[in-house]
Amino acid sequence: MNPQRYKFGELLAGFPTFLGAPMAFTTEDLKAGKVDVALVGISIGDQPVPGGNFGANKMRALTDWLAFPAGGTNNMIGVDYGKLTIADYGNVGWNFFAQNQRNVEEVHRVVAEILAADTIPIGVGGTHVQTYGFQTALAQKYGPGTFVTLHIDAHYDTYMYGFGRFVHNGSFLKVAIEKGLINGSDLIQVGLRGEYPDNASLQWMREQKIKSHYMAAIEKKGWNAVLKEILKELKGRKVHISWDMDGMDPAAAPAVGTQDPDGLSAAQGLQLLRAVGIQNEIIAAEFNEYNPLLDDAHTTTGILMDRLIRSLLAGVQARKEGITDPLYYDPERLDHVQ
Amino acid sequence: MKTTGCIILLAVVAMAFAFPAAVLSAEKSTLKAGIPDEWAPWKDPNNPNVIILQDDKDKFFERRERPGIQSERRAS
Ligand SMILES: [Mn+2]
Repeated sequence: MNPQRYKFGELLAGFPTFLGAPMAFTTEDLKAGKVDVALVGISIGDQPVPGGNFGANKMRALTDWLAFPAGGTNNMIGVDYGKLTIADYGNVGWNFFAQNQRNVEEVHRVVAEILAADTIPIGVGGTHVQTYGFQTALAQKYGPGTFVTLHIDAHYDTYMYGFGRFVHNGSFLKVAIEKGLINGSDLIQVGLRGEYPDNASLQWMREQKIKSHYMAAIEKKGWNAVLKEILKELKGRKVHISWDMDGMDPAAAPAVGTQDPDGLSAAQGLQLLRAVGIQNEIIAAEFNEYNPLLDDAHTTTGILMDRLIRSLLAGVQARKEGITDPLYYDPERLDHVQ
Repeated sequence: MKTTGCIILLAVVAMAFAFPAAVLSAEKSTLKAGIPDEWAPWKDPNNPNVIILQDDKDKFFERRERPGIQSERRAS
């Protein structure tokens, strides 16, 4: 079902859906529509400053009028991701009264529904704990230890202590490695900073051979060098992207659960997603930790998250069209061609 | 702009065929199973409907023996 009344127009003219995409609700819908990518809202909240629950629905109604419904030409590579079949798969439920490990289980179920149609699930909104439900569903479909989790974050999220819980916003990656959902060496982290990990966690991370790209590396070696390292590490692998919006610099993304200065720029984030989309088979992605209650009136953080998703989709489409260089640019956008 | 318009138009037409009446189906998903027990350490193995706590090494609200000016260094 297409939410757009008009053949041509901006998002404002249609019912609010993710990127203005048509809606689908079941595995059968996804199969019938031959849907390439299903955007699924996650409404889990797990943050000290509440609001992540509202991220998914806010992403359907951003203060953003000049974006096209589920399509548009990416200006870096000249590729229209509207050639992909994109659907809005609704939201995963969140029970306020339930313990969040229970809610993560519902994430698993809905993601599994999408995977059953061989559609790429892209989680929108929620908070980082949901990643565990993505990883269990992916491990069930592709096998444990078969895929990479590319983790963008200010924080390492392999905290040793659960304070009663096993899986929470700061510990889910430790449990994922302990349970064998992913290998330690298949966790690639980008943007780490702040005053952690603590020594015990850092020691554990070393033993697991986690590949952490700290902001220190980006500052010292430069972004281009680190990007090349990341792409080399990812080469040939199935990739699950777990994108914590606090990995971005707060100047670009102020409305996050746990702000920390000196993160990735908007350009770096957009480039990384485009490049990985071109180079790798993307099996799932999720963009989390957006707290719309902390966003400005122009929904700056939300619009960036929207563009990050669109950039990934452009990369995925470029790969389909046979573009193989992850650092490809459309020549027309580099020099005057006439 | 013209190309984009055409593509959107094509997408709209394609969608009309691609999404039959089943779109608004209220049928339940056939994939009811949740996270397998071996990956869900919070489930009590004897009764998966009971949530267990992580081991008791996690102490809540542990107080200092003698609150004072000189704070202990962090253990790590
Ligand atoms: Mn995180």
